[in-house]
Amino acid sequence: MRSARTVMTWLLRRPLALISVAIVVGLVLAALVGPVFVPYDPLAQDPAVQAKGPTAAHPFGTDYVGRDVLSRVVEGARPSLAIGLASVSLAVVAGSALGMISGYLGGAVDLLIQRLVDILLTLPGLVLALALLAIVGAGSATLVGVVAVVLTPGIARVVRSATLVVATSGYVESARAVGARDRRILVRHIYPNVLPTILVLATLNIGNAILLEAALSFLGLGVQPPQPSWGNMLSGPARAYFEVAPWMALFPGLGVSLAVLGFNLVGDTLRDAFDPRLQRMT
Amino acid sequence: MGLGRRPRIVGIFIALLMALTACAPASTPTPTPSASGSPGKTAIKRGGTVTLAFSVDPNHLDPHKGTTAQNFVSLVYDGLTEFKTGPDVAPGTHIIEPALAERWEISPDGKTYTFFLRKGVKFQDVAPINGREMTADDVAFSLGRMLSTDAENIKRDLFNAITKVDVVDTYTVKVTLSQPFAPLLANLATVFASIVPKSELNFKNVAIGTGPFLLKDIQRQTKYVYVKNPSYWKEGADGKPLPYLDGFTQVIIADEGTRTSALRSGQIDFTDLLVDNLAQQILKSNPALVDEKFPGNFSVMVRLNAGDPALKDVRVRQAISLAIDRQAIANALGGGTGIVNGPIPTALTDYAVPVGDLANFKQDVTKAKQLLADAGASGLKLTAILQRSPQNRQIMLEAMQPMLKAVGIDLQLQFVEPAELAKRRLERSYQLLADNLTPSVEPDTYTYVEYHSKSSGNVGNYSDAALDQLLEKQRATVDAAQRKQILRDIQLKLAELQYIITTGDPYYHSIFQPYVKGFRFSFVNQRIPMKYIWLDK
Repeated sequence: MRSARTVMTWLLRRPLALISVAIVVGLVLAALVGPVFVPYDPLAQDPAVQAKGPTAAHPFGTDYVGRDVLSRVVEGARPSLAIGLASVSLAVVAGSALGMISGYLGGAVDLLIQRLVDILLTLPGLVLALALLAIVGAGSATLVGVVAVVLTPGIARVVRSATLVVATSGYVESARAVGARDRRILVRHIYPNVLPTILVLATLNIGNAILLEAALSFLGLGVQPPQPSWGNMLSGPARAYFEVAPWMALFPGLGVSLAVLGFNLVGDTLRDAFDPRLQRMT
Repeated sequence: MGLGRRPRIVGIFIALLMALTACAPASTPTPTPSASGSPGKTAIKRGGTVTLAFSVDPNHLDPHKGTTAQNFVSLVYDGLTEFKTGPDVAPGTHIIEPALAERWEISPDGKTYTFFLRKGVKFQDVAPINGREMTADDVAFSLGRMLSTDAENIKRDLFNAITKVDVVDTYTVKVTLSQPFAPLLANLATVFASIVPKSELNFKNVAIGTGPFLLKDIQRQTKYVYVKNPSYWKEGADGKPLPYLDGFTQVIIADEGTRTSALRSGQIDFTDLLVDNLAQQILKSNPALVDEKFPGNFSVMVRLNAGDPALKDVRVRQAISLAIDRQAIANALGGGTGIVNGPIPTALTDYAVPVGDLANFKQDVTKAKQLLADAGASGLKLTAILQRSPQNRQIMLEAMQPMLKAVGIDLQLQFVEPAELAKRRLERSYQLLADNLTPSVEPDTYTYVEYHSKSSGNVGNYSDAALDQLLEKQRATVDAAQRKQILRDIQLKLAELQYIITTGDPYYHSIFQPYVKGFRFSFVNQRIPMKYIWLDK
């Protein structure tokens, strides 16, 4: 891999990549340390300023019970990113394992795993998530699990394709010829070579996971009030107020858009970076 | 690496859409009709139709089986009596007028009512009733349905003083009561006392009455189309039968934002129950719209289940009441303005005790903490169930959360589907349940029906012998001044007991297009006065 300096030079030559990294770093910082710096307690209500527009004291305005929208948007970044990252980590571990095993072993194992993946892929993500949440109940922990289940089959499918390519390559053949066992081949030869694919998939799926979390919270199945999350700030009474107090929904909505955009662009950047054909062109 | 670019773009688009969720397609400016002529004495014009919007599709249409279709069937049916409407009736008061009963006689002991029916009133000309005349048999049949003891009939307690209904002749019905019953004539004016034709019809799906409009077409979840009943018995100001309109359509638009957009763009002519600050904003951008403002009588509240171990202790319930700032909650409900309600909503000016006179209504955090400590209920964790719509429940509970936290009560919210909420309410399987009281102009609905230990409307295990006695006495007292005094005692008692934490109501607005004339204010569960509406265009 390149040194930090080459990474910087490489990034500087791609303004879009730089912006995307800046967005993601900014959001992560906001989620980690933002709540310390926000002007108000995100749960504190001030009855004197219910549903008031942006002012110097409340730059993003206040919501229907007089909470500061800026503080809530910053606080809301935390569950959105945390649930996004946690569910993607789970999904990536499960999906990569399934995909590599399926692609490398082939045969009956492959058939079984891939038909299971097919079944899960036929259901739209949101519908599958709703059905699962109806069974396990709403809450932050179950949400992570459910989003992970929804994302896993897609990852497994792509990792399997990558594994198929690697598995037929010369070095795997020779490793097998010298008598390496399956586990060693999977860990030492297949895994390092599908890792770029996995990393790109992970980054791209964080955007999907954040979106799914927002959609589920919007439908009332995610983070429960009064705890703010971008999704639940968009739903409920904020909808009734949309015409007269658009700031209640606009800013958390922008948060979702920005996060999804940022992670997707980082995913694109990573793909460019890992793609040898594109590298030669620069 | 077979990853297409499109799904992500779609994803971003969805995120943006969600940000704009409540925003309906951009509303086009309303073409303002030419400035209306001289106010006041304009000759009434007949004809035309209007479109109204309501937020929820009713469960079914049967007025005697706990329908939620009050605003839908109230114009199809009439009662024996009706509430007077018009500019001379102050909101919050009620005057009973004859409707299908032309007049009535009350025996000196107050236990027998003889209703003399209006002659020549015909049911709407719809098969299989085909416009036959309404007679005493239909009234007896309808009263029998109102008194039926099946579980669906949750409004039975409005009429349960009635012990016997006799058909004297074709146009005379004698009603015998177990005791004098003050709310009777008012309760008979509600939608729940609609007179239906004696028949085997399933009134959940069809509605045929004597009212000013007949229900022509039902498209569930979409719209209800009504046309004029040409043989309606009541005359308009121009000496010809009401109604003035040829018909109207009620469309179902669940989302408040979409509803207001529809009003702005002229797709609907009339919308009801708009919260104060939403209405203000609409009027600011569309000054031509006409606005009627009135205080709500819904009383958004949290029902405490007195059967729950945590809430059995009256000190805990009082502590909850003392912990909250009702004015702040009422303001949140209205988006800045609101009215605090005691057990009987402030809007019922004749009966409501001023909130300042009620115990446990003024926020007192120290006293609340003391009561909780005395009751040994520190670190109390409570769960409130609520449905997503109407959103005023969520606003109320979210406003309460930090107030309760300040006295050491952790309040959790649990959203449930409407059907499950209704089930758990009936089964009394909840700790706290966010709801509103059944709106009415008759104080009995807010007192006896909710709190009497034997009432079908008591769904919170409320039981207090002294209260029961007062509630019964209130019903049996026909003298208005005396009854008012008893109702005052009841409210003071309820403030002590705090079975239901009433918070408040927003001011509501009815907003309509400038050509809609003849609007008359009425509370929900009265018959909405659509029959007096006419169009100046």
